Amino acid sequence: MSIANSEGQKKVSYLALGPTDSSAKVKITAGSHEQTDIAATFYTIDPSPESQKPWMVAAFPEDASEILEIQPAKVRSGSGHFTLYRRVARDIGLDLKGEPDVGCLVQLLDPTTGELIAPLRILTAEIGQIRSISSSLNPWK
Amino acid sequence: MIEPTLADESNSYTDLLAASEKGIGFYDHAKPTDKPLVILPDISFKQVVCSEAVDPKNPTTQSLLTIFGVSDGGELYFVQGTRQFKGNKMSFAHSGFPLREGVSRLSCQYNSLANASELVYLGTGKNEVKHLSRDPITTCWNEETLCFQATTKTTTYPAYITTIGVSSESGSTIARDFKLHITSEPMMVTANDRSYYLNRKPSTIACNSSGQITIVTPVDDLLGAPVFNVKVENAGVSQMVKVHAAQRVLRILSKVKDAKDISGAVSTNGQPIFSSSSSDSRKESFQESAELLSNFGSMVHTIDPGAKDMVSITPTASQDLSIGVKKENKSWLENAATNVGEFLGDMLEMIKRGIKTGLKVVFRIIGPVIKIFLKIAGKVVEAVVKTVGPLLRAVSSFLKDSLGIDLGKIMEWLGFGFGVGKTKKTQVVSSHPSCLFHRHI
Repeated sequence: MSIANSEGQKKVSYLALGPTDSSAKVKITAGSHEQTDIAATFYTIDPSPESQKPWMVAAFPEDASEILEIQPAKVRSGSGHFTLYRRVARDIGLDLKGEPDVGCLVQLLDPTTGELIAPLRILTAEIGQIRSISSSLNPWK
Repeated sequence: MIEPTLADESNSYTDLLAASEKGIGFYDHAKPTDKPLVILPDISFKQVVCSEAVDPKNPTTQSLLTIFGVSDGGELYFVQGTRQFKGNKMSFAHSGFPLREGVSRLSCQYNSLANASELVYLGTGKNEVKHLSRDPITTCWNEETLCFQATTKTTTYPAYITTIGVSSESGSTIARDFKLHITSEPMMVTANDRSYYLNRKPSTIACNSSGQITIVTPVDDLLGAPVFNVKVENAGVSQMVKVHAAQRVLRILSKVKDAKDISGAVSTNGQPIFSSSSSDSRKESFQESAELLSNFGSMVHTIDPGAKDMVSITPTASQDLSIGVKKENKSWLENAATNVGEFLGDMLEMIKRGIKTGLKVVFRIIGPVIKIFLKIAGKVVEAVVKTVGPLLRAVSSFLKDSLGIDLGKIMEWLGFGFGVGKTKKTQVVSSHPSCLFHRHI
């Protein structure tokens, strides 16, 4: 799916829903493919009608060629996303030093500013290449 | 250390599960950047789903995780996880056997209402959406195909028909709409022409104007049948009655005494089930099956003493009943065995899918339970059977395998159409101070 708007041309590779504080009940998160002028990243989309600039680009901290999957994250240190992405290195011939070409990050939002804070890498040495992720909310109410 | 309080909503966190080339990685919410716990590391997975719910049996101390993974080859695996609240300790258990093949995408949940692990999956065939559920008590799996479009023609399928009738002490029919509370393993049934999803929590079903409830249960390909636990309440007095949907099948199977009873079996319209040529070539399997079946009544009685009215019981001559095993060569049994106690259902699913090469089976009667030992592809596993439903599934899966007959033939042998006379003969009656109770199939 290719979309052009205030944030430029982009090719969306994944869509996910997340909570928001605007009048819309949800916020949409879209992951993208890399384009000629921008690496793969993700966008938050505010579907509320009063929003002037519904699409906001979020900085993705790694060189990625595609955002493969986005899952909601709520861990002890905060809320955000788990993101499965394809690294860009293979395409441009970089040596990954034996690392799999798919990586996984957890990025948390600063509770006051809503900005993404430092990403945390998910370790994958034990399990090799990840094909798919799924987050599971536990029932502690 | 996490000691969640159930009142504070902010204590719900997300764990991450990763389907990967070396198993399923579990990343705990408390330490997402630590090394994962790895489940089934020898299998490469393409998808994993998980659902967690508080354990209804131990609501203050632990929760249960239902995890399903699809391998690269489209095989479906089930993993049961337990989280102890104290110390946030995780443990995972699985049989290591795939439940299904040809699975493409799936979605799962732990259904706390039915206390069952449930899954909806897409097959690789056309129009294949299946609903699979696991009974936590018997560990057996039930599956239905979900239909999105009504079929235009009538469909027929073999079914167990169970009629539960309630009458007053004087013998007169009880009033219409008298309600019974029924539990069973999770299963879609039709009761008095309405659909119900029976499960381990009571479903309330009203009697018709004759004071009866007729339950139609589709027969699965291992003859699996539920045991209905029926609670009758009247004027503050309640009684629990167990009704076996498969009474007729249990009775016929338990009547087999020798190989001739199988080779000479006839359908309800008098046609032989096995042609004489096939009978000759299968002499040995008939003998083995007859030996197993001649003890079937005792096995049923061992695990359910209340079933004695339904089956013929012959004193058991030997403790071990085997299929595909020479009597003198059972040393592998003693050196057994990985205990897959909680995953008997997975074991049966694997046999059902027709993995036969080198399959060896021994049923052993031990006190109030029956142990099944299974040798397959050099691996020995054992599981304990405690209830009649799984026993019937186990016996019929081995019969199917060893006699080489399909469900159609088995139904010709064991099934019958409606017939008032025959139905009355199979009726079982139990009484109660406030209600008289009869049940039949």
